[in-house]
Amino acid sequence: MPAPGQLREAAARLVAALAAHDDPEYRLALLKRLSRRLGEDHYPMFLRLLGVVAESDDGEAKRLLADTVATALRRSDLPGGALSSWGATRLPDNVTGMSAGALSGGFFGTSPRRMLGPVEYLVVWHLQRTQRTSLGADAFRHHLALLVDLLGHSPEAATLYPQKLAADAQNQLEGAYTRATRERLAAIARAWQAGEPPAAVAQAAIDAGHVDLPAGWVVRDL
Amino acid sequence: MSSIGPTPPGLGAPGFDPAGQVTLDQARQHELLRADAGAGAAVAEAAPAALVDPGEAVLGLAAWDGAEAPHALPRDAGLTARLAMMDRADAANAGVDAIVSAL
Repeated sequence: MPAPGQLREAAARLVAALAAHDDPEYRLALLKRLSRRLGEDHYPMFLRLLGVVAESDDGEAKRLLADTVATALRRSDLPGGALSSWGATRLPDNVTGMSAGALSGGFFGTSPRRMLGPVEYLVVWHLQRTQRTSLGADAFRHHLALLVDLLGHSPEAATLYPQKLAADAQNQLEGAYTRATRERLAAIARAWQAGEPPAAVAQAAIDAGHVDLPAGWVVRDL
Repeated sequence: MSSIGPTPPGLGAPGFDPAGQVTLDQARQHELLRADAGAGAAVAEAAPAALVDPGEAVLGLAAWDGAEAPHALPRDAGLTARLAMMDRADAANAGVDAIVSAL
């Protein structure tokens, strides 16, 4: 695991590399290549680097990074991480004469994964069954607040991201999100668009899950 | 004669482990159990412990030596200048190399 100094150095190099050219396309390409280089399993490291910049006192670095995310939002091309999807189970291509050996770890372990932007990744990781153990509530709240704070340094990102989340919350067709996830995405979008501070936006996502139900009710999380 | 044979290799329990997750024993070895999973060893043995995903451990990595200290990112003007001399495609690749090498 990287030491604190290594994390700061990596985050500083990210900012230095973004600043090398003014071209927004270059900056987006850099961010996406970093995400891809780290790989699906290490997307949390990508999120951690964003978080280190968010935790810093460097307003210019935050603006640079947030503006790059705004570019990604305009292109609908966020640097994303992959999580397995609840609604997608892929059967083997050839199901005739399938042997028990075909039901290996690969069958269950390679269900289709969906690419998710940083905020959506945190929400799905926290709420849905994926290839990862669920993200704890405290970590979810803290890191969501960090992202919202970071993106608030770009007025465009702070406008476009909640719009995207609100649109995602309306989309039931692709099966990427459970009902609970869509409710949280909508809650985040509402709080963010209302100008709530980052901690309140993150808390809104937590509170959206606390719906009073009659005793004894069983609700399927679909 | 029993028709129950040995478990096919493809159906072994390890084969069902989703990628990115770890077994309980692996988690113990790598200290990935949540701190609030149980105060005593007896409790921890009696009840299922809460696992922490390795990715969550990464998210929780500290980047600053003290909460009160200024959180200043080191400036790397040299890297910016070197990348500025390259064309954008090469600069993006070299920039990623530099970032990853710091980790």
